[in-house]
Amino acid sequence: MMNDEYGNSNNNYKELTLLDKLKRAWINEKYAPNLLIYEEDIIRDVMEKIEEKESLCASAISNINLQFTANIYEMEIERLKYIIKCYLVERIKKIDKYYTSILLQIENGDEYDDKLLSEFEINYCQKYKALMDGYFKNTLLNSIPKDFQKMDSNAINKPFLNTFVFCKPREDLGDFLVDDETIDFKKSSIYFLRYLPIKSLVEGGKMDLI
Amino acid sequence: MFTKKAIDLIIELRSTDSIPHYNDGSIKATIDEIIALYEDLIKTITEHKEQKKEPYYLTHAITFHNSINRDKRCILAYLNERLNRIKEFRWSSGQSLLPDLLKEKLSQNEIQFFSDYDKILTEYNSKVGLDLTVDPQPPKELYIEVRVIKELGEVVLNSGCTVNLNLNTTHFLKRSDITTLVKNGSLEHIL
Repeated sequence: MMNDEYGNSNNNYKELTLLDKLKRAWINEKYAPNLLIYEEDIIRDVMEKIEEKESLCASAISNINLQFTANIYEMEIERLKYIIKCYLVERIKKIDKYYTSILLQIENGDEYDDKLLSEFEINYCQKYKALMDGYFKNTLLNSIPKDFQKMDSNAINKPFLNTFVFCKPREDLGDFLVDDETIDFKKSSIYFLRYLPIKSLVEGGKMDLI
Repeated sequence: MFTKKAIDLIIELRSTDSIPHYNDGSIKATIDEIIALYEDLIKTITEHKEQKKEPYYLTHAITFHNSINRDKRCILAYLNERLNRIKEFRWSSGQSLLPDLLKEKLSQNEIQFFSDYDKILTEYNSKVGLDLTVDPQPPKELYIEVRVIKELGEVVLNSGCTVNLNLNTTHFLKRSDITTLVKNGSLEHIL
């Protein structure tokens, strides 16, 4: 459906793959129980494209002959914005829920974890944590005896990684050991598995969730 | 029984999906209970230093200790769930102001939390250049027909044009321009 709307565009191929990448990032983020790495390149490229087309539309809207095409483009821009919004909202909801464990992961993690959040999300996450901590201190923790003022370490919300997911390999991956069973991942097949064993494949971009 | 009040807090919250009145009384009572339990616990440990390994004193200490932790856990859960519901309101309404009806149910700290959370979220929204809270439906058409249900008078839209939004008139307008107005109940989408 989306392909048709780009039919007459010159750089047809590039836009198509970008849109597919964006959709894939959104769907992966939606179905993964933990926070995935921030797809900076994709989001930046799409935002650039949107700006480019928006200015194009703004200049075309006054010309009566181009108005129809401009409207179609605007519709498409709205759709793209919607997908980006969904993607970012999905991430913010996860940050709200797992803020402490995410910050811990960034602090103790390697290079991979550095790219977990975008610059704005880090800012958001830190401020959010400060807000939550401050709130609990004001309402409860400061009023009870000192020995009990610290937050329980097992009260930290962590994503539940043992949930089951539907997934689809991007290419033939060969044999993998999942829960004492060897599975031959084939490109055209869909699997229903626990998330934890395939977590690294999803994060490495070899497997997509659906 | 210890921790009775704290458990009641959780039950009270679970019985409804909306935000009930902030139960300041029960929280204060539970905090008092924690302090009383704590003093008792310290007294037991310090007065019976030599016999503290004996089952009689040991169980005493453990019971008190666990009761304190349970009290604390219950209050935190209560507060946290309320915050989640307050955040949910911010997301679903898209408003940065609390309506009076809701405001009187919240504690002073919660009202403060709402405005702080709103600040963080608004800052994030303006940085990414998209308002994440508006427009939760996938866009189907560029223009939608709306009826005015609250008198607004002359309004300048984002796209730059001016419209007269008088009560009970219908308009055919660009979706992205008016989603906020639809959300806060000034306009109604005609299907």
